[in-house]
Amino acid sequence: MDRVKILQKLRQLDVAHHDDGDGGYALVDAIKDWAKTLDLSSRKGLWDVLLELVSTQEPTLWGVSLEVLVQENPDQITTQLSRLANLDNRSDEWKDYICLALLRLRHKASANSCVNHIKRALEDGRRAALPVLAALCQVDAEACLKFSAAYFGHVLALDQMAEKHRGYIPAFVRNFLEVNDDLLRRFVEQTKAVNFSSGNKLATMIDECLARPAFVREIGQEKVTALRAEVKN
Amino acid sequence: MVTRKRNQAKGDAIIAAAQNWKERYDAASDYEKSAMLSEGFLNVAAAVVGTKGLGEAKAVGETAALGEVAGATKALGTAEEVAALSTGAARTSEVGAVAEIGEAAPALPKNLYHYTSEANAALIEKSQLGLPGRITYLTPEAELTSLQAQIELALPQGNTGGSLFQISTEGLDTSKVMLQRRVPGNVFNRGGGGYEVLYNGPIPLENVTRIR
Repeated sequence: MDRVKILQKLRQLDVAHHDDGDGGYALVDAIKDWAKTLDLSSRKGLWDVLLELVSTQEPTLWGVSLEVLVQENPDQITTQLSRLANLDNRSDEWKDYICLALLRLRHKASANSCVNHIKRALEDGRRAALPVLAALCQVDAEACLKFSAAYFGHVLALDQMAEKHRGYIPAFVRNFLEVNDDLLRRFVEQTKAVNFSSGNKLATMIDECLARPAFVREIGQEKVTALRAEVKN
Repeated sequence: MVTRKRNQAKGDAIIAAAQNWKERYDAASDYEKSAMLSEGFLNVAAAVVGTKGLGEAKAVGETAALGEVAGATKALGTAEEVAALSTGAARTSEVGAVAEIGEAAPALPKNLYHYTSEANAALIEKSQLGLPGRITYLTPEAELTSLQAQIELALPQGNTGGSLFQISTEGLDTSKVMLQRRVPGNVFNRGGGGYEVLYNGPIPLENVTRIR
């Protein structure tokens, strides 16, 4: 299947899923399902087209294309995405997504450029980059803990900032638990070392997140109870 | 002569639809009024200028919504009739008065909600709600069961509606709110009927709280 036919099919799927209203996740699944039906050569062609859509920031499909590439993780995709991460004249938001993709794919060679991107974003007060900081633990847990503790130790010292950060806590909890169960305890400990009061607020927010029924369903009551005890102590 | 009579009838139908709309508006709650202002404006605009340029799915949605407004009068209702209205032959001056009412920007409630599947909920919590370039449907309805959400919000197949997010509208980019309307039914026999707010693009996690 050539590039034009692949693009036509992607357009058809886009139109068919236009009214899903789910933010694009069903379209991601539809493209993955279609990819399974392709022969190897056509599938390789599909990955190339999806990368092209990401690179050119095609208005309606680049986000979906990137998510498909992350979930399918085809050969060499991390190398190709890391080239994109170094392009100039791209928006900060677009680079957030590229860095997040590389970290989700655990591409260690991109760690330094992602750290630089995260630092700049946080200096600029762009909280939208916090999920990227959370995902940094996938390639460099120590750097992630260091920057996260410094950041939360500082911002949570201000009462009005706690509410603005509550929504980001699940991103840290989920990423940390994927890497090592002990990271949450160390996150709180290191944040307390920066600012004790901030560390306590962070512990409370993590505890609230772990206590939700959805987490209990996912990882089990026993593990949740143990994690909550560690975080609170 | 025949054409003039037909245009006259179509113009009357729009006025009747507008009167019906006003009756519904007078009886509605504050939030419903806000959504109806937006809906009414867009419906009338669609009738006058056509749906060209609004995108296929939106055009279908507008047609359905206009059909709903017209339903009480039984005067409009087919796609052909709606399309015919875009010729501009109808009595647009009266319709324009209705459109002016809708010029007030619709207010959003303090919180909106998004129903999704468990698998998507985990993805959302690690990045943001929705992917770049895609539309996310939100609703002011906070207490729907999973089954109610599937039906009233006409969720697509595969979306169980089992997970629920609350979205604080404080600080949300209101320029990305595309439309507020009643939910039209879908091809999976999910009837719709609830209210939805169409938001263009992802919503940052600081506005998002998982409820279940």
